[in-house]
Formats: sequence, C-alpha cells, structure tokens
Amino acid sequence: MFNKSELDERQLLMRGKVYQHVVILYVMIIILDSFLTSFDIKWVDGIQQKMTIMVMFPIMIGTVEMIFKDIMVVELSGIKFAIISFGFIAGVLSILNFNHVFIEKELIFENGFLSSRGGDLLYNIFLWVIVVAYCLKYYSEKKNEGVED
Amino acid sequence: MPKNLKLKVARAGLDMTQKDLAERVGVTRQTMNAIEKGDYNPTIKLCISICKVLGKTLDELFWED
Repeated sequence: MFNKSELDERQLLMRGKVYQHVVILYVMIIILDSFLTSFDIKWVDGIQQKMTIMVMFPIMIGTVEMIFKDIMVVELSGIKFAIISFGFIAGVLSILNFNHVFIEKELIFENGFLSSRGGDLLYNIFLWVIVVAYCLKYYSEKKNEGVED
Repeated sequence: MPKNLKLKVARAGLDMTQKDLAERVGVTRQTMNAIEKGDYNPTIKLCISICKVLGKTLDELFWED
C-alpha cells in the first residue's frame, strides 16, 4: 500500500526545484538588501524585523509553491496540524496587530520605511498567505475528488 | 511531451481510476495525472511498475512512433 507521507519521484524532483527557487529568491533578497544598505536606504525598522522578513518571504513563496504543485499532500494529518498551528499563530498576531494599529494608532510606515509594527504586520500577512493557499488547495482537492483531467 | 493516451486507454480498459492505479504503483494521483497528460516523464522503474499492474509491455504503453 502506498504511504502518502512518503514523496513519490515526481514530488521529490519538484521539491528540489522549489528549494532551488527559495535559495535563488533568498540570495536575490540579500543582494537587494545589500544594495539598498550600501546607498543608506532603509526599508524596515530594526535588524530583527528585517531578518525575519528576509527569511519568511522566500519560505512563504516556497510553501505556497509546494502546496499548489502537490508536493505537500494536503490531506495528511501532519500537514493539517502544521497549517492549523500557522492559522492560530496568524490569528493571534492579527488581533495583536489590529490592536496596535487601530486602537493604539501605531504607524505602519515611518519616514518612508516600514516601522517595527509594519514588519510584524507583513510577516503576519505571510502566514495568512500560507494558510489561505492551503485552504484553497484543500477545498479544490475535495471538490475535484474523483474527477480526472 | 504529448499526452499518453495509450496509458489512459489501458487503465480505463481495466476499469481503474487514476487513483487506483496510483495507489497500486506507489505514487500520488497527481503524479499519475501528470504522466497521462504528458507533463511528467516517469523513470523506467515507475514505467515498469505501471506496465506490471496494467499487464502491458513498455513498448505498448510508452513507445512513441
């Protein structure tokens, strides 16, 4: 019997390509950031925020690519658990960010660059993108169950 | 790559779905779909597994004239 938790040969090949895309994207972001830094152009406040965004963005792109290219088997319980956890974290962060932005009136942009709050908001969005991509794929799989191209 | 209609016909001849065949050969339904659509070129190992399950030879399923 086929064990769905193991990737088949096409999935392994595709996963390699996704890793390649993630690394290339990460390198491009580092180069772009170095370029901006060398011209004293600040795009986000705080080194921690900057590093998180620079790491999270390629991870988000790679995860979404893995979801839509069927490398992540959406019905696996381990994947479901991971996505539910992501959704929970994204939800909590959204409430916190909503509070800071709309009640405490913290700015998302300050002097032309992303503030610390803006950075938080951005990787909150990254998490939501992963969760939404998973949900779309999950429901499209359920809807097309038994349908062959 | 062109669509592999021979594979599709052989599978349908045995009244198997893509999912059934995929489970028998140990791949996902999406991979089987990609092979039939010509989007993925399977390894010889997978081709042999498919042939065994469908009772066909490699020439019958994968040889292109």
